[in-house]
Amino acid sequence: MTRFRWVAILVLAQALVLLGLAGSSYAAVWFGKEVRLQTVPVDPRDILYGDYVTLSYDISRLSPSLWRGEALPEEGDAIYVAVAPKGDVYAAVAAYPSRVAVPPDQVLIKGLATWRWEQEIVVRYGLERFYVPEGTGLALEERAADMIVVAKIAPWGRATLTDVLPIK
Amino acid sequence: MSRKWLAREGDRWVREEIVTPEQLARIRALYDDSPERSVGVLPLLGGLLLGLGVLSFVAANWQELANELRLALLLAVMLAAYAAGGRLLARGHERLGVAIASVGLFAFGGGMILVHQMFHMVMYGAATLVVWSAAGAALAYALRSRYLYVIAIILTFVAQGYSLSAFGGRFSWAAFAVLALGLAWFDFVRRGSRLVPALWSIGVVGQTLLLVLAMEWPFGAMFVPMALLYAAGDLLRGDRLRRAVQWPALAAAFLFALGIVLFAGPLGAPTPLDAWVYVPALLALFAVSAYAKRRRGDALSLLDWLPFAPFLYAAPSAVPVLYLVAAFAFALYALLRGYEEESRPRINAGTAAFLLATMAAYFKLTWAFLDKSLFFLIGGALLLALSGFLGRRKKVVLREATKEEER
Repeated sequence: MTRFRWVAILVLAQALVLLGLAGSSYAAVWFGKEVRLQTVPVDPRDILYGDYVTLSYDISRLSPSLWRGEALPEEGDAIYVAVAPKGDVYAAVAAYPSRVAVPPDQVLIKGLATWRWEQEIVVRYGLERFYVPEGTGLALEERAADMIVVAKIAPWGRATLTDVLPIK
Repeated sequence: MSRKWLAREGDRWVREEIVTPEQLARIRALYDDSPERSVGVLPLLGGLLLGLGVLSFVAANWQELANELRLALLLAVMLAAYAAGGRLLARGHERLGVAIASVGLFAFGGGMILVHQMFHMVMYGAATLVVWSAAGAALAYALRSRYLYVIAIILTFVAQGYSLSAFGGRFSWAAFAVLALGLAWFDFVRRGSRLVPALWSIGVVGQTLLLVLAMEWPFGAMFVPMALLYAAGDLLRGDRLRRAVQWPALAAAFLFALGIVLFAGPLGAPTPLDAWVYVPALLALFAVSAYAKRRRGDALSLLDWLPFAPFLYAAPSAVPVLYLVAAFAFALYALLRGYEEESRPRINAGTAAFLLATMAAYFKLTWAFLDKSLFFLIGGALLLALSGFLGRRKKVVLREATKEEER
């Protein structure tokens, strides 16, 4: 029956989509290098939205002086940000329009330029949401401005959030 | 129609000698409820209870489960639903099988969202929901199911709504493509329904409206996609299919023409650029439609194009008047055409169009200088009188049509 063959292919494809989604995260965790990032305050009304906490980082707003490309990136452009350890956490040291080789102490994170003006390039890394069990967000909300986020950065630049630690 | 109803009415038909007892027996045999088709209710209820138990257990312990286990559970639920649906379909339980398979589709969408939560992923657009709607469309084709088709249409709207609301009014072209291109061919696979192409057409009209709103285009911009939809309908073979695709576009264009009549002010003056794109596009589509109509021998229906006429470029004071005249002319044509064809839905549509045009005209012409209570009194009386007259006229026409058939 051809009808069922098509359905079988379709169901298999759906299972692969689910596994692929999860796999992209697992791959980043398995092959990635751990970095710790400092969060910064966000617009309070945006912090807790449903069952996740919105996070923003030191490295979410870059100074254009870090830019190593020709023209500054436009909204929606991919952007590669090199971070290096500075104290307990990692801080941005340079930003590139494409993948480059960086010194061994640095890690390259892929992001998306979402906004740009003279003083700032605003970048999203896909690390901006931390899902919490329903009803437990308020406690985190109060500290969302001042936490350390543990993330794994895959060699291809994909960042995935693994843990959120309060600063003691 | 239920079998009980058939059993009750059938005896009456025999008594009144409409059918013979033999014919009745044959009719009943047609709708006979073979044991093959019925499903035992008890196993179904048992399965349902079991499913609910598993679901509430999982929901209560979801936070404690490891990600790997959660993922495995999601996959298991989805695969089990599809497998059960497939088994039921193979045994000929068409409706139940499709219903269970649709549970698999929901598990797929829910699973994608839960995976995002499990791994703290950020969505950059409506891509996940677009994938979901595309899977729904593919499943509708594969199972040739009207029910899944409707779900797929709804999912494209869910994706579109999410894209518009969560991403700063960004119109999802992908969701629109799944609807307008992906779902367009459904009726060619599964012939014979008027509802499905009409639903598709209504969906396209709705998303086009969202597009115009999202892009903040002037309302007049709606006319071109509606004309495109209408002209595309003219290229279709088969009266029923063509009309089902065309009427939502026509209704939208008509309502937009009335909207211009009433709110002509804030439309904004058309720029010369509009005239170079808008008017030629309309003319080209009109030419395509005219060609198709001539080949079909139905050149008269070119009057359907009245609400599409690009009057937006006339002198600003003349714009509402021209659209009003066009709307009235179209309504009158639709009504007369309905009478001529003795078709109840067309007469109804024509009547509605005529009443709406009258209302718009009355509103436009008298709102400014008539006392408000007088305005509503006269308006109400006018509408009642008109609808009474048109309703009686419809009855006369349809009665004559029935008599002629009997002769």
